[in-house]
Amino acid sequence: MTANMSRNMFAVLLLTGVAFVSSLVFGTTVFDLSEIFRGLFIPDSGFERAVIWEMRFPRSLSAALVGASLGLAGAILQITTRNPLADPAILGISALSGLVLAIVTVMIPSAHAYLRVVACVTGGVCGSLLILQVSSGMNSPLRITMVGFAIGAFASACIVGLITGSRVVLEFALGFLAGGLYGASWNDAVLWVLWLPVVLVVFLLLLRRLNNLSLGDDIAQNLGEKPARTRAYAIIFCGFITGIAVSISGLVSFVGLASPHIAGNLVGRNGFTFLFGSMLSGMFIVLGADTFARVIISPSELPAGILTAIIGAPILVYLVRKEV
Amino acid sequence: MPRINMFRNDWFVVKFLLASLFIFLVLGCASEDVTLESSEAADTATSVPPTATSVPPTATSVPPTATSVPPTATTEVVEKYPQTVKDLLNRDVEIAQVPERVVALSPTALEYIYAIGGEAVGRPSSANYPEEAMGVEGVGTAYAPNFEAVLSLNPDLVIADSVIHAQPAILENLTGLPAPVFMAGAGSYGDVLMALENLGVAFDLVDEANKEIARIQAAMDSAKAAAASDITAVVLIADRDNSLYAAKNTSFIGDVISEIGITNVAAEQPDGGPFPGFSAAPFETMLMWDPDFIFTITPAPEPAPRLSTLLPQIPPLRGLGAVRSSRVIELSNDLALRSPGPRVDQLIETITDTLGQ
Amino acid sequence: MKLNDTAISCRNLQISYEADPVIHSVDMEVTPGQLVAIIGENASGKSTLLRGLARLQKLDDGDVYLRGTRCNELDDREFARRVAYLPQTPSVVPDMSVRALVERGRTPHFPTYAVNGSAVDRVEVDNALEQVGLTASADRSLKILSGGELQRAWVAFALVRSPEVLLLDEPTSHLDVRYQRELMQLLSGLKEKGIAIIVAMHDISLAIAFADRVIALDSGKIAFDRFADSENILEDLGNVLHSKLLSFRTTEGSLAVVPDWHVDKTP
Repeated sequence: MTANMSRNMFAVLLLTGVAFVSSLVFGTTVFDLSEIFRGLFIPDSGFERAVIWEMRFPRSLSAALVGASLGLAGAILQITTRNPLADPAILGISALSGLVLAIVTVMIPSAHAYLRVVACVTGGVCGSLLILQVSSGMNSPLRITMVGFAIGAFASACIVGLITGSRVVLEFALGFLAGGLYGASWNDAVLWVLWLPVVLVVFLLLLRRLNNLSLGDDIAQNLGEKPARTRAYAIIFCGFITGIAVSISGLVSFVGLASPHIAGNLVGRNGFTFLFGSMLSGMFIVLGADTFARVIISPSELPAGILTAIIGAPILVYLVRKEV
Repeated sequence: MPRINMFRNDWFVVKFLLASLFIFLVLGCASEDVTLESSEAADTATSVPPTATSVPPTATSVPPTATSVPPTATTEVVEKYPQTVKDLLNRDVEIAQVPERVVALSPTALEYIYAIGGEAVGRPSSANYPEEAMGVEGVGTAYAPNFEAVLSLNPDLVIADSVIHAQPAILENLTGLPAPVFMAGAGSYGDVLMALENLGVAFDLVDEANKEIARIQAAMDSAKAAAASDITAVVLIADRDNSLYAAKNTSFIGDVISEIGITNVAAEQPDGGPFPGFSAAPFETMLMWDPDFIFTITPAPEPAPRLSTLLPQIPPLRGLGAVRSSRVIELSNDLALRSPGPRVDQLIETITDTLGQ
Repeated sequence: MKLNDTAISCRNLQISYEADPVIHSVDMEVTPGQLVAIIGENASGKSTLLRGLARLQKLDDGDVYLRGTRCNELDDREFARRVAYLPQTPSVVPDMSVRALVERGRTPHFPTYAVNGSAVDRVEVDNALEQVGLTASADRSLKILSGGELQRAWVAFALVRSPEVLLLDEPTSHLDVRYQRELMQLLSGLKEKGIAIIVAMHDISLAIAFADRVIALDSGKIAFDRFADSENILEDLGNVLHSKLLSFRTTEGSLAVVPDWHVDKTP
């Protein structure tokens, strides 16, 4: 990694940390750092404890998890489909995850939170398998993207159809479709415990293979890898982590698309630094969007999913113009 | 004067579009889309114990006695707290002492508090009644209450909405609050009476509560008297695409109508459409029903045209009996859909007046 | 020639691409330390043949042998260690340094689940960089290299795994003239290491100047397979390419071959 990249990586890490702390500081009430310290570490601190430990901290952790998942999934999808416009939302994986959740909610309205996570993850993995299946044999990144787009549009239409027919789904649907972290609690934040070990293990297994895959299918195969298999595993893995993100925040757009580009520009498009940088960028965007969402029309809230698009879109346009 | 071209390059266009979109969204979310609210109301009225028949208030059955009654009342006052009351989800709510810092999370909840003579320190930003409550701190919207804001008001009692806030996601957050939470919404006519009564006990404002209950029951009695047997009616609402939906008896207004004794033609229909407790009412079905009275609700605020004026202009519906004899009446969206509650007597009076014509 | 003496050979190779037969019954043998140029028109099947030898293309019929062992019997990683294939230079240049790219080339020697290499691998990387003359530019990004340097970086990537066979598809096609010569000299230098080098090319002068053998491919069949300095090779090449070729010897003694572009412009 060049010196420039190291410096940039450090900057991204720092900015993400700042975004996390800011999300704890700002809100309906603005806390200072000492109050945050008390809220986090001293159980009896009353109001600070209730707000920071019970509300903001789990919410920030959940936001970070959503951002990390979408950023990582976006980066992996862009590598494996060789398409700079790939992300879990565009390829329909998020929408399919939401559809399975909607179906489960209609059938079992009082579904336990864990069942909802399982539904989302199942949907995400199904979305991945669907993409793999329908685009098998297609070499053109454009075709794979179009297939994914069609799948996403279909799934979104089904979700809306379910909403129109069933009032049970409506309860969560409108917040879900806009995407946001309203109501995120420890139930959501605790998913880190599932996410971290899975991601670590898969990372170690996939990293080298993904690196070689990005050199080209022929070259990768000539290095002794199995590109088709690596691609399949990688995309299914993206389905898994996207499902977890969707179960927390609903359909959040743009994060998976913009994070890899931001990371690519700052820390290079290759290897561990690219994937990790994309994760951090995703965290930064979601944390920032969520903080803004809570503050702008306080005490009401905007859905964070709208803000990620508003923040992400100009960044993306800027990056595209710079690259071209 | 040289021509000024703002849109010099596409980057500018992008910035302009995004800025306008952003401003539009902020205004939209802050001012609260009324249709959005009404369509988000979750109907959990079925989980509320059915008290459709009016509960006779105990106060009026006690005749006022002479002053010879020894004042044992004082010892009773001391023992009123702590007490446990049941809310509309049949939960036991423990109240330690007279509530002084009450936060209401829905317009209905807010109206309950003020109807029995209480006061709130927090209200939903979208509430617009009563006047006295308008200066109170906002705590987010009815559908997305801001729990931080609630906490910062240091409440000793939170009144949430049994209809809106019963879904697990919000209920979880509510039960995590340090103050007791009383779920009081208006899913049916009986809900209103029960809420007033139990809240009266909780606030130690039983007399005021009973007055409210009496007033409402009087209005209902008048309406029942005015309603001859075999009157049919339907309550209609339109969505953004101008499709019609009719209230079933599982909706608040449907329950009020059937309580009065009017036959709701849409009672046996299956659920359909974005409004909980409503079913789809296509034109053919309307013609088949041909109800005596048509009541309409228009969620969009003025100056949008009222559904009661639009309905007679729809060619297939001109043949309806109610349209020809001008029996299409607009009901207040606030009273019937958006913020049902203690003002139900006004709603009932509108219906009574209609029946009297 | 006994199979065991050849570095790589194939017998009766038939390859189809999307139901169209591309390679018909090709037999070929290359000894270690030999530089073979494959010449042919665009659709003659040069790339497909190379890919078939590199096990990247399914064979309808026939076998490929490495030192007498059938390739089907070798597992992926062993094959990868012994045969290095470079496709036509991709338009997208990877965003990494020269050293990072060459490190990737050591992958066939890593243990199955390793991500990076060990000290041994780093030494090999340095050797490969030295062989291609990029030691000084090792830490520069690939994106800022010249065409010639980039191609040499890819050759280092292929060399670092110490292959027995090197397959290159049109490595000189997009290079400036000075880099073409440079690259072919580099490839020639590799012969002494005993590597068998097969290069698909367009440029006949270059082929004849540097290759030991020239194989001409016409519509998926071998038209001829001769040593570069054999007689009448030019005429036969002209037939294969369906174009008259002119040649002349330069004062330095190399053979320059050009198509006959003569056009009679007299009215």
